[in-house]
Amino acid sequence: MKALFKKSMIAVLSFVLLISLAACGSGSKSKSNNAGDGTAGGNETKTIELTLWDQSVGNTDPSAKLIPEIVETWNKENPHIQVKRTGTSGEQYKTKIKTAIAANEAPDIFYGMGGGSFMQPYIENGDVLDITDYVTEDVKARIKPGVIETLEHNGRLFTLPVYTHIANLYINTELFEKAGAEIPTTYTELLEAVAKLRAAGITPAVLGEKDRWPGMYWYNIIAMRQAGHDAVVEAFHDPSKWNSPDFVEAARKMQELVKAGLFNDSMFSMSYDEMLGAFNAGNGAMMFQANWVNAGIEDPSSATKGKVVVVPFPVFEDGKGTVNEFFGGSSDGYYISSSTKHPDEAYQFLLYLSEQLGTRGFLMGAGLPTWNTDGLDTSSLSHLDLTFAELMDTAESFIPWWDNIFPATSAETHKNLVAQLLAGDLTPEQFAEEMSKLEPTELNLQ
Amino acid sequence: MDKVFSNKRDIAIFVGPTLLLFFGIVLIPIFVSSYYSLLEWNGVTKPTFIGLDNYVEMFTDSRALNSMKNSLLYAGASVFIQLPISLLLALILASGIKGEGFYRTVYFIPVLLSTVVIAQLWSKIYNADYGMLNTLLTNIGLPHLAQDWLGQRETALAASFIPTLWQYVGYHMLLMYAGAKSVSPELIEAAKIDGASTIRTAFSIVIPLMKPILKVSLVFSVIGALKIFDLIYVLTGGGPFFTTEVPSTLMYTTIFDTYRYGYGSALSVFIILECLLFTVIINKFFKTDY
Amino acid sequence: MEAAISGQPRKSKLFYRIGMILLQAMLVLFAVVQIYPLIWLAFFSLKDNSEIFSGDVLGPPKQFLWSNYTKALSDGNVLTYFINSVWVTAVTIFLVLLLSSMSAYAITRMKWRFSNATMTLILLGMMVPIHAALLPLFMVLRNLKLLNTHWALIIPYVAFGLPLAIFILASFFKGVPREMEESAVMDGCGIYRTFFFIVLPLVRPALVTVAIFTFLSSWNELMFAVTFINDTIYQTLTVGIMSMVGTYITQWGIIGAGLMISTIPTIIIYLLLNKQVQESMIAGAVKG
Repeated sequence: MKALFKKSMIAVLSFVLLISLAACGSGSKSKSNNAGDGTAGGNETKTIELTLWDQSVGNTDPSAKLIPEIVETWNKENPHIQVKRTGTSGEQYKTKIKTAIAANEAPDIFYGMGGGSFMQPYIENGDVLDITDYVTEDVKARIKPGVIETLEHNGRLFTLPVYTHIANLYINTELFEKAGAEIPTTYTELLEAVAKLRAAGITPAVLGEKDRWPGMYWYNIIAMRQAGHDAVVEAFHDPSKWNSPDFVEAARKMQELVKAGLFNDSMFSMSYDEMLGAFNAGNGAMMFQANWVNAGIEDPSSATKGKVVVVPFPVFEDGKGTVNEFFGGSSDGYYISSSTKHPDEAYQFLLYLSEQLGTRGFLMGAGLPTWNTDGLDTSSLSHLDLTFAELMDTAESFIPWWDNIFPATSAETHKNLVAQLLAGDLTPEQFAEEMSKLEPTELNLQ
Repeated sequence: MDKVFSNKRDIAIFVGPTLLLFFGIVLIPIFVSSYYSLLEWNGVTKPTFIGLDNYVEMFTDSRALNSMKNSLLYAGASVFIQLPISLLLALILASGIKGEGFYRTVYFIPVLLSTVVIAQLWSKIYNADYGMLNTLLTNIGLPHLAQDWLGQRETALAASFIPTLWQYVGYHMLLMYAGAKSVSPELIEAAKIDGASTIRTAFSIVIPLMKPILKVSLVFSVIGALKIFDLIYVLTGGGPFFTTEVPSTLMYTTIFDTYRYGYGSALSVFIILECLLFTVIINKFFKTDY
Repeated sequence: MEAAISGQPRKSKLFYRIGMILLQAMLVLFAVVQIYPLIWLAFFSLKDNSEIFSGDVLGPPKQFLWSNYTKALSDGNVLTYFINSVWVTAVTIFLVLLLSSMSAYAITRMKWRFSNATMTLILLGMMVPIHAALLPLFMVLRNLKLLNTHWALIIPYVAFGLPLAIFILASFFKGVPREMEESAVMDGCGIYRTFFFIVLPLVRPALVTVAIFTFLSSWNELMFAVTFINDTIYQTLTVGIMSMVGTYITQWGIIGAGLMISTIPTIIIYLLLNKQVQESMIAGAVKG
């Protein structure tokens, strides 16, 4: 027994040691081979299998219906490059993909939330394939102008665009009429509308601040309207600029709106889902969100179907931002793992998937197109989707979601700061002071 | 006799497979986490060795300290509120009351439901706009008491504890019921004949004989409390403003939202050590080895 | 005086009666509280979003939306998920019962040097926060080439289920009088026969209790199930249900239906196991 025990202990301990040594082996990996090394078009004699992970699941997500179709068509047309798909829902997807990459077991192609907080560490570490040399002029010509540039990290490309999502102000016209309020185009008008809606016993805007990012959207657009696009870009590269008068003023306006009763009292316990539920049930007159909520508003089960219009966020009389500066972008896309055995085929599929999703998804209302849509029949689009497409045509610049621009830790801190600002725990000055302590972004903002 | 019970080969067969599985699956993560906890590592790039810095940070960071305080409060609530209720129910049911089987079955039902279900239910109870609690208060003429239970500092912590406390009452009841049922009926009968009241019998005969299972319950509930994650994460996500954060939710966001594998692992090592400490204390209290 | 003496029992009988009625009333009330969540879930699964997010949130639906169920079941994989969950859970329960009863017995009854240390070590398994164990465990399973198989779930479920089971069983084995084993051994039964045919039947209620707890923890587990499995053919019901939660828009009624579909087997299995508890209790198998 004793000898046996000793032996097994030694075996186990050496096993443990081996594992823990192997565990940290995900240091810098060598950059993958250059384009053109492999034989494009796949080897005719062998069937290649590629794995795809995404987070488009759920029966109301248009992409969730599309991706299986796209994969199926691809597999039919390319018998030698078979794609296997795994769809996982949002919160779990995060855990799954991060664990897999940390253990060097990333799938060939996977969905990544764009920007600094999610993808930045992987891009810097060479975990994802640099596809710059793959993207031909022909492909670039099929993408709407200005989109590619927003995806570049230090001039290199790692993903292709799929959709554009932009945030605008949703207005429940029925409730506005009931309160006799006008749809606001300026800050003053916004305050007036809030007062009228409150007087009529209507919640002016619903906010699901439990999840923290919906409130962040509000501060972000207010700051953009107050300081203007260029000042925001500058502050992202030089955080000390967050502590300038314009950003203090933006924080002051945010608190002024809260004091005026813009949001529901229950904002800190309301989740994003409950916010959508409340807006669609007609329990709030405004909501500031991105066009992924359109499908829910237009759903047959929604009480507000057909009563909602969407308008640009009001401009400020004393602000530098214009109505043509948009909050949003096309930073979410699919990435190829640098450890893939078949980079060429993976890129072919990535191109196919991104373009198919970007065009067909647009027609199903999943998001705005980043690919040329000339000659597509847009009759299937809802009124809201069409409005978004029109708004897009007026866009002069974009700033993506701030929590995607900041590095991960700063992104979390930023969301928490906005929550404290909303609760009145911080004065605008304190808020701006804390903001100036955040890390700069390394993204290429236009 | 002793020969039979100390045959080395038999013992190895009885515990070998368990130990093997245990070393491979449970001990390795503990070892690896302990190693990670000495690193500044984002789970992606090359780690840097920083010694005990993560632990120093943990005990100087107000957010981490607050999360530890919360889990200790929760452990206290489990031991002094939840377990007595479970024990009372177990004793009542084990005394052979009418409908014993039915009650025992029904009381356990909340334990069967998954976290998602329980979280949905309680968010409907607490909801500030249309929740059952506020509707009830308004209907009985106390509208001023209606509030945002999960959304404000004053009530969020208590409100997020109650669902788990309630859900597991049946769990501990079932354990204790099995323990109470193992007490020989002859002993209870004898006490009754001696003229002891029901309550006295419970305290002087049944509960002392249930000691082993009471200790199991106590250890489970304390360890469970220090590790509490699911319902808190779904109901409040540790909010508002970190008031309901517990070590495991902090650990989760540290690892998966801010990419700090080292610090997150340090938190998990802390949770393990804390659980160990309390288990040892409970064993000392019950004067047993394990 | 005499009247008082003879009145005494009658009075206390009356008190006893009233006390009993009050007690029963309390037990019934608590039963309603405990069973309501299940009824609520049934209501919830038949509502549409507008009813779920406003109005009478805990009451019955205005109209029964059975289409939630057809939509939830329209995912062609529900049956696959279900079979996977049943298989993984069944194997897990079997292994946990076998391994935990054997090792708990060895720890409490057999004489060897490390028995107490082993118990303390095993208890560690209950203390590991599984989110932190996720990455190391992923690597272990990868190195064992077990990722994306049923074993990727069964092995961790068993390993993490063992401590609880061993702890419960050990406390019950302690209550089993040694005389029975000793007489069995005297009669020439080997240790295995003694254990499987004499000792185990004595702790049947505990075994069933362990089976119930193990069942619950593996049936409802989500994190390992998401992280260690990629292929639909191996995915379990919890993962399937979570996939119904949309990324941007959610139809909660359908999720409710999915939750109901995964809860019903839980209730049925619990009731079956519960009957076992009942029978073994009535048999008075456990003698103090």
